[in-house]
Amino acid sequence: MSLATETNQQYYQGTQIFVATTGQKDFTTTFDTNLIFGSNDNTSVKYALNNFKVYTSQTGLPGSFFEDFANYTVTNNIISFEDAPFNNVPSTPYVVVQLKTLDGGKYGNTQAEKAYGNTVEENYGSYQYLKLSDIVNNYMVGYVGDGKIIQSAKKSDVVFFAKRSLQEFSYDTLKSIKSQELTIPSSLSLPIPQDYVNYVSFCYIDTLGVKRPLYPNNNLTTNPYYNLLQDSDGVPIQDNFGENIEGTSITEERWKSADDRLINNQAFNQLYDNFAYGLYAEGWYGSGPWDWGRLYGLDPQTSQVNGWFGINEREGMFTFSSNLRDKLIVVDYISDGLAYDLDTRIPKLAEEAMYMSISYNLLAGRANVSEGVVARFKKDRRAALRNAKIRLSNIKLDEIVQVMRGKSKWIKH
Amino acid sequence: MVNVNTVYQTVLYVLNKEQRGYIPPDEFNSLAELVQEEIFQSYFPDGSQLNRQNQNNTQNDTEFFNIFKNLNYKLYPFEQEVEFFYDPTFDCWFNSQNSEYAIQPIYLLGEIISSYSNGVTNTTPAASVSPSIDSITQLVSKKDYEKIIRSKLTAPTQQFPICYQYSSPATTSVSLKVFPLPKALNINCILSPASPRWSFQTGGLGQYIYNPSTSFNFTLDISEQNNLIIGILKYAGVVINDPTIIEVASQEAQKTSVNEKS
Repeated sequence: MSLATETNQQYYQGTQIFVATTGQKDFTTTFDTNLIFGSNDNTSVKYALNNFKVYTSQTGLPGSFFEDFANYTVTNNIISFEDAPFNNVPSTPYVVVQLKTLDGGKYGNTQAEKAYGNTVEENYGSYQYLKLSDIVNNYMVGYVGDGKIIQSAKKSDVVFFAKRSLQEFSYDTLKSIKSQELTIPSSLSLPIPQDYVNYVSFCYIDTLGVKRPLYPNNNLTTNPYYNLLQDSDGVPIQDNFGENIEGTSITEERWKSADDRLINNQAFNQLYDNFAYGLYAEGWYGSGPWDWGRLYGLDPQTSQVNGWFGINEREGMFTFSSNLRDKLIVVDYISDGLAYDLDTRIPKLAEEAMYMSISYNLLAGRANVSEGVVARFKKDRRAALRNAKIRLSNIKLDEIVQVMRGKSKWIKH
Repeated sequence: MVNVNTVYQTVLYVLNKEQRGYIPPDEFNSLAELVQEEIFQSYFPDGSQLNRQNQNNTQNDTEFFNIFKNLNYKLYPFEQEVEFFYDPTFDCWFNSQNSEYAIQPIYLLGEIISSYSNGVTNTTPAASVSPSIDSITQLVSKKDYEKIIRSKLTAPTQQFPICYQYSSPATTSVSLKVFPLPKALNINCILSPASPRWSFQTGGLGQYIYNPSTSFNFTLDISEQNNLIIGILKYAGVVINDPTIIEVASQEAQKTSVNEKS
């Protein structure tokens, strides 16, 4: 059985067409995407929850399709009309189910009738992934049973190790596809994304749409976890319940109001560029900061004008340097692959690595398994994981060659 | 199925051959039920033992001489997919023996399939997500259940539901608590064998005349006919106090058993 079950039209257009037989009321859709049904009544709030629209036509000719608000329900991806479309006149009407798509599909005649949404686009590229449930079911078929090394395994154990493996793979093997585009407010801080585990990169986007990398402020400032109020002797003050009283962080206030140009030498470069050079050239060995860098070399981590970001663990916020106010930024980050249903999918390029990882974890934690078997699966897991990493690194020889050409290297290929 | 009259006539024939005695129908019916139960019960330890060949990769792949497969085949009269019903009072699923399913009591639970249609969604107001999911449900102990639900990684979902056995006050049959709650539950079960009965009418001379309309055959597979006869003869020897019958029948039964398992 082929793995791709949708027709080309279902995949690309999100459309399934039925030529109804006389009196036919039930229409079974076969999309990979399940139909979500809120209501057939377009005046109902729930109508917006539908991820599809239904159109009918008596002739099937372009422009003759109209959205059908007839009384219908959806169960098991079957659309069931109370009465046959057009009450059997003509006897073979056309029924179209259109999943919501960015361009609204081609069956609606007005903007209101178009099926706007991104259901179709969410399905694009889905063939490169496997669902976690498929991994577990495949594993139970292929690796567990009489005559196999793992004679029996509880499904809950397999699910546990499959999810743990997906978490581990998400951290260092799978592609990082999570990112948020945000504008930095005047508070210079943004909440950490709901499914955030770690960041990959921060950058602000300039007017050309080009990414400008931001750098961590680790060695410049900090976000103190406790900001204690003190008495005149420096001892923390407690409230009536015996708990320490905390105030706002002065460090953070100073950082927010800091002029970045004083850190990255920009201010002095601008103000004293000619002046400092003049002093230096005249033999006036000045003691001002304008000489830094020129005398001792620049510190690369502070010699940039893009800006800095930090993570305030106490407040759960990303913080940014003051020059980034109102700037557009993009945060690339990784999650653990389990936060949302849409995340729990595994690239086919890492399928074998997932099986090997589950096998090793099952065997390693099991009593009376010979150490040789465990070692074998450990090697298999490592080899499969390495393979997956190489595959997912997406290294293309032509692209490497193109980069190396710019480095004055003579590459034959 | 093994014809009860064939077995009874054969037993009588062997017993009467040397005027050893006679087994009346009531005694035969009791012995028949006992032996059928004995053979039925032996399938499970024997199956486990024969499965070791599968586990050791020493099983043959022939069409008819795979002993494990043959033994498995003998269970077909008892294997049935049974629908369970939801009891909202005790929030459990139970089998009604009065239904068209499972006329006999359930002996063992096999693969449990939970069906879900209306997925729980996070949308408000809730939309019905229409996939129909038939999921294999893991039967666990209450102890394991308590552990499994406490881990977010293993907490039951519609794709990976779990259940545990529950003694419902509303029924004497087996009940299950299933999580998440499905819309339907079907279980592949092994049912207990029905009691065989050799029923009769009294003839003009006071003799017993077999009445097939009120009799019940053995539920066992036809291949068990010889084992049934030997088993009944063994107990008949006890009843009529004839050691030679017991000895011969026991030796015969043992020979068969050894041959099958070696």
